[in-house]
Amino acid sequence: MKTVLLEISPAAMLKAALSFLSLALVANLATAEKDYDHQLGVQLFQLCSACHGPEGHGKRELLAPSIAGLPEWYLQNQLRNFKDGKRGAHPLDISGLRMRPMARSLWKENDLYVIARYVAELPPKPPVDVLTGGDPVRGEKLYKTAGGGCATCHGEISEQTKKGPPQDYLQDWYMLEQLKKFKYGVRGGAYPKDNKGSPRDVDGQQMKAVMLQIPNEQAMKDVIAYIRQEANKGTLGKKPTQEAATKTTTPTKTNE
Amino acid sequence: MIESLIESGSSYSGDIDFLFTLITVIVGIWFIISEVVLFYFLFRYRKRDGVKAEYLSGEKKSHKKWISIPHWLIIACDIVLIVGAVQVWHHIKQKMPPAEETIRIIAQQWAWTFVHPGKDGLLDTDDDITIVDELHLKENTTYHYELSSRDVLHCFSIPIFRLKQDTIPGRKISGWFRPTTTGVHDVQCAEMCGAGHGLMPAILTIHTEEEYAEWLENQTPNLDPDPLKNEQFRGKEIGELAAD
Repeated sequence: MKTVLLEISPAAMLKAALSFLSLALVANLATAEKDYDHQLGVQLFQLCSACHGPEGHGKRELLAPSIAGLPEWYLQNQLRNFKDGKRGAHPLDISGLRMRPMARSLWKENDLYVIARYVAELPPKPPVDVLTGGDPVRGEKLYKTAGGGCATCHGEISEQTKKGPPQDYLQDWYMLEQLKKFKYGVRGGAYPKDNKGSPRDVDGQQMKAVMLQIPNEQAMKDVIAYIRQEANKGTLGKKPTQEAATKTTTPTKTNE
Repeated sequence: MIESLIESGSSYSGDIDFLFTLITVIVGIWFIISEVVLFYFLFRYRKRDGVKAEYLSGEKKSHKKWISIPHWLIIACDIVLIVGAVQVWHHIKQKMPPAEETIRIIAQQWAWTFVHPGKDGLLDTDDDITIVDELHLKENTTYHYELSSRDVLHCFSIPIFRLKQDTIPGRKISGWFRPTTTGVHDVQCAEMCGAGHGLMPAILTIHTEEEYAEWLENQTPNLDPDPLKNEQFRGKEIGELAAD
C-alpha cells in the first residue's frame, strides 16, 4: 500500500483532486438545473402570452405560432437556439428577431427548463387552416421523397432524434413562413456566423438542404396541404409523447 | 461637466452638453434664489405675538415688484436659452455636412439592423455588410444615416454621441454624426416600443481607419446567395410574404 501511494506524484494528485472537484461541480450544476416550479412557469409565461396568446395558441397577426403542447425537448432546443443566436438573428427574420430578446431574457438555465415544461403541458389546439391553393396529392410525393422523406425527422421518430418538431399542431401559415426562411437562407443559412466564421445553425442547414427539393412557393403549399390533410385525418403520426420514444416499431392507434 | 459622467464621442456632443449645462445653471440659479426668498419670507413673516395677519391685494408697486422683476428676468433668461437651443438645433438637425459615408439603420421589434457600405463606400451594392445589433463606424468620418422602422415607433439613441432620433413607420429619416473617439459603446432604443423594448440594445464599435479596413476585410458581403440579393425578396420581408 505504501509503495503505491508513493508512486503518485503530488502534481498528479492535485490534478486528480481538481478533476474530481470539477466533476462534482458540473454534476451539482446539472442537477440544480432541473427544478420545476409551476408558479414560476406561470410567471414566466406572462411574457410569452403577449404574442403567443394567454393559452399559447398563437396570434397570426403578430407572426407568433401556437406553442401549447409542443414537446419539451423541442421548446428547450429552440429557446436555446434563439438565446445563442442560432435562430432569429438574420436581418430578414422579422418574427425571429422579435423572439430572440425574449429567449435572452431567460438568463437562468432553470428558467428555460421551467418555461419549456410549462408550455409543453399547456393543452394544444388543432389549428385553423388559412392557406389555399395547395395540392395534397403533389404534396404527398414531395413529403415522402424530399430529403429522404419529411417523416424521417418529423414523424414519431422525432421524439428519438430530437430534431424536427411534430407537425400535427403546426399552423399552415407558420409552416409556409418557416419553409420560406429555410429556402432563402434566413434560417439555416450562412448567417449568422460563429467566432470561427462557420454558420451557427447546423441543424437548420439540414432543413435548408431539404428545401433544395422543394422548388417554389407552390410546392411548399402542396407539402403543407398534405401535412394538414393527414394531420386532420390523424394519420400523420400521433403527437409525440414520452411513450412514443419507446414504441418505435409498434404501430400506434392513429396509424392503424 | 457632463463628460466626466458620460463619455463624449461625437463632433456635436459638446454642443449638447453645453446646452444642458446652460439650462442646468440658469434654472439652478433661479431655483436657489426662489427657495432662499421663500424661506426668508416664511421666517420673516412668521406668526408673532401682537402682530395681526394682513391681506395683501398685490396692487401696490412695492408688492408687485416681487412678481414683475423676476418675471422680466426669467424672460431674459428664456431668450438666452432659446438662442442657445436654436443654434444647437440648427447645427445638428437643420444642417447636414457633406457625408463621407452613409449607413442604413432599420429598427424593428426588438432589434436593430445596420447596413454598412462595403469597400465601394456605397449602399445598395453587392458588397454591403448587413448585421443585426452591431454598428461599426470609423473615427473622424462624417456619416449620414437613413433611419426607418419596420413596425412601430422606436428611438435610435447613442448616448456618447448625445444622439436621439425617433423612427416613424413609413418614413425615412435622415441625420448625421461624426464619431470623434474609438471604442465600444451602447446603442439603445429610447422610445417605448412594446414588451421587448428594454431588450433591444446594440453594440457600437468605433474603429480607427486601419482597424475599420481590417474589420471590413473579414466580413462576408451581404448574406448567402440570399433574399437580400434575390429580386423577389429585395425590399420585402419574409413575414409579409407569409401573410400574403
